[in-house]
Amino acid sequence: MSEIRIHGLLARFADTETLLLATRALRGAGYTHLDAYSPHPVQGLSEALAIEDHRVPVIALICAVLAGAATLALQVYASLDYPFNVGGKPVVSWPAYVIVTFAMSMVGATLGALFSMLLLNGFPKPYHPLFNIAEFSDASRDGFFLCLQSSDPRFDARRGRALLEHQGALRVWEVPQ
Amino acid sequence: MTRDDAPLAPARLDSATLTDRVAAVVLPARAPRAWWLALLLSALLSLLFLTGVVYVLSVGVGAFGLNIPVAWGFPIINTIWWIGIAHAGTLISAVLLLTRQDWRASINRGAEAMAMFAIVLAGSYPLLHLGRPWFAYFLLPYPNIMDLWPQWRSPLVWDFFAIGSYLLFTMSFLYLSLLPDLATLRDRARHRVQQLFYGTLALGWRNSARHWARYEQANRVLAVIAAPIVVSVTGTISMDLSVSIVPGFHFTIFPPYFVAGALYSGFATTAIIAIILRSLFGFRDVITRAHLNRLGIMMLCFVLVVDYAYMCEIFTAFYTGEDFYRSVYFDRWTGPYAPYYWGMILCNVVLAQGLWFRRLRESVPGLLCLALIADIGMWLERFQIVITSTHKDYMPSAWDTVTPTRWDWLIYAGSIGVFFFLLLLFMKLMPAISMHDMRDMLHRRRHRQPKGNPRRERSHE
Repeated sequence: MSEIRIHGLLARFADTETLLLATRALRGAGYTHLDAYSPHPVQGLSEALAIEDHRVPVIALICAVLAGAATLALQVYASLDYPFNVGGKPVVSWPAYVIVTFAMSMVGATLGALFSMLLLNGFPKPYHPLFNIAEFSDASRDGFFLCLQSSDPRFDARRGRALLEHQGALRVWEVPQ
Repeated sequence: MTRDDAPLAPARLDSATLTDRVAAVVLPARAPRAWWLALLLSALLSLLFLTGVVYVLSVGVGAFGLNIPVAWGFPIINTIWWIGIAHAGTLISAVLLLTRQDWRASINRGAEAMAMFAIVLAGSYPLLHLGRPWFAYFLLPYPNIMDLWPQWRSPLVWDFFAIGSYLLFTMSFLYLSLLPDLATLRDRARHRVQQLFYGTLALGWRNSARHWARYEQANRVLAVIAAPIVVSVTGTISMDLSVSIVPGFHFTIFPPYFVAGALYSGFATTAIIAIILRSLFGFRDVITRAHLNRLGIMMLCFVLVVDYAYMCEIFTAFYTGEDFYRSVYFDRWTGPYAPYYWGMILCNVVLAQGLWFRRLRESVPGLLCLALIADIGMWLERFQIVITSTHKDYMPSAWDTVTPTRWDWLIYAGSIGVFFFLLLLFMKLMPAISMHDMRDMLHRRRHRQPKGNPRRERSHE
């Protein structure tokens, strides 16, 4: 381990193909604490990084069901709490409640999906070590980056750098903590 | 997209140049002179809107042309009209995402912003129409000392929840779509204020594969629920009318008929916005004639459904054999509001047929005219539905006509100003073209050609 604590090694690649190959190679070499950065979603990258996180849609579904159930319960409760006879219709006339229930369950799904995405991604996160690398701003333009984090049990700055360069990295940076 | 092979973006355009070009619209303080001029004009119109709103709030809804048979005048007409315009924004972003139409990439942001501001305006009219808008919270179910609840069987309460949930949905969808682009602007910004502004809004987005994976999941969830939302919101609003027994309102075809009309006017407005973006900021090569053509095709599809609904409505009115239903139609054709009816027929049935011609759809002035005709036609349609049905219903002793006042027209014209004012500001402060969607589209286009592997782009499907 190096004496200065670093966040990890950041390598830039020319295109998605080399990024994918490098990611697979590093995974193959046993590294697990990796992350890749690209200006748009890259097909196959999630598989290469073994990202298996399907919580967002599940949370959205749970929120939709809860919001819908709560809204329906509220309408039933309100009708019983203040019974109001309109043209002899049943007090709990549930078909009329469907629309508001549906609208609120859609709100549940929307907010569930949005906020679970934001929170699972760890936002808001105003500071991140990677922002110290000026060229990293190209990740939102045309740059493809791979970061080997120092938290990886097999991390070694010198070997990691050699491996990344061997995979065709255009440049490798040591990211300060 | 079988026959149509016109390129959606120039071949030399790549991620980097596209990002730089879109950022170069937003980040420099300078703006095109035409933008300032348009902003000034719409700001003046917005002032008219504010004047009208202040006047109506101070003297009451009597300032509007309303009376007792016609209790719903301009406010409800405009609500239905604006909410309809909003719908195409949602549809373009969501349904075209699910069906993987590449042509949405450059126009979806404009359409989403359009949806956002149209809903705000749509929502403001019912509030004004309440007469005492400061009691609007009475519509919310909350424990109160009067021990009362909203009437859950009432379409007006459904309407409140439909518009409210649509507003929340559109805000979330717009923000979700903006998030990676806000990070892009944060990375490009050189001015401290801009860095703070976009950096705060971007929440620390780093384009990580983990971010993208969850982002796409959330995006798909929102896209999947967008289609039922689009159908249900205008459907619910149409129930404000069709659940009643008023002849001219009480048709089962109303929900789908309203949705088709909504999408027709919405795609028309999207076309107007696409043309503004093209001409103001020089995006002629990314919002191409092929895009205009496709927007025109969408308009054509929906206007044909609308025309079918007109026929179906007339058929139903006569087939019921009810005198009042028939008299509504004779009144629409020959009564005091006949010019509005025939104006609607002229716009939506006759002139709209121009959409069949590809040359018109692809020409900028041609499509602009057709889009304006569509918006006017749809407004006339909403007018004749709301006004002609109520001014002459079952009780001849209650028949009356209503004339729109100058405040009606002022607030209506002013709301168009507010819409364009907000939209123009948005185009300058936020990326008006979705950079990440375009980068994705360009990337897939580049990788599809050599491999000949047409359809297997996204990873999370």
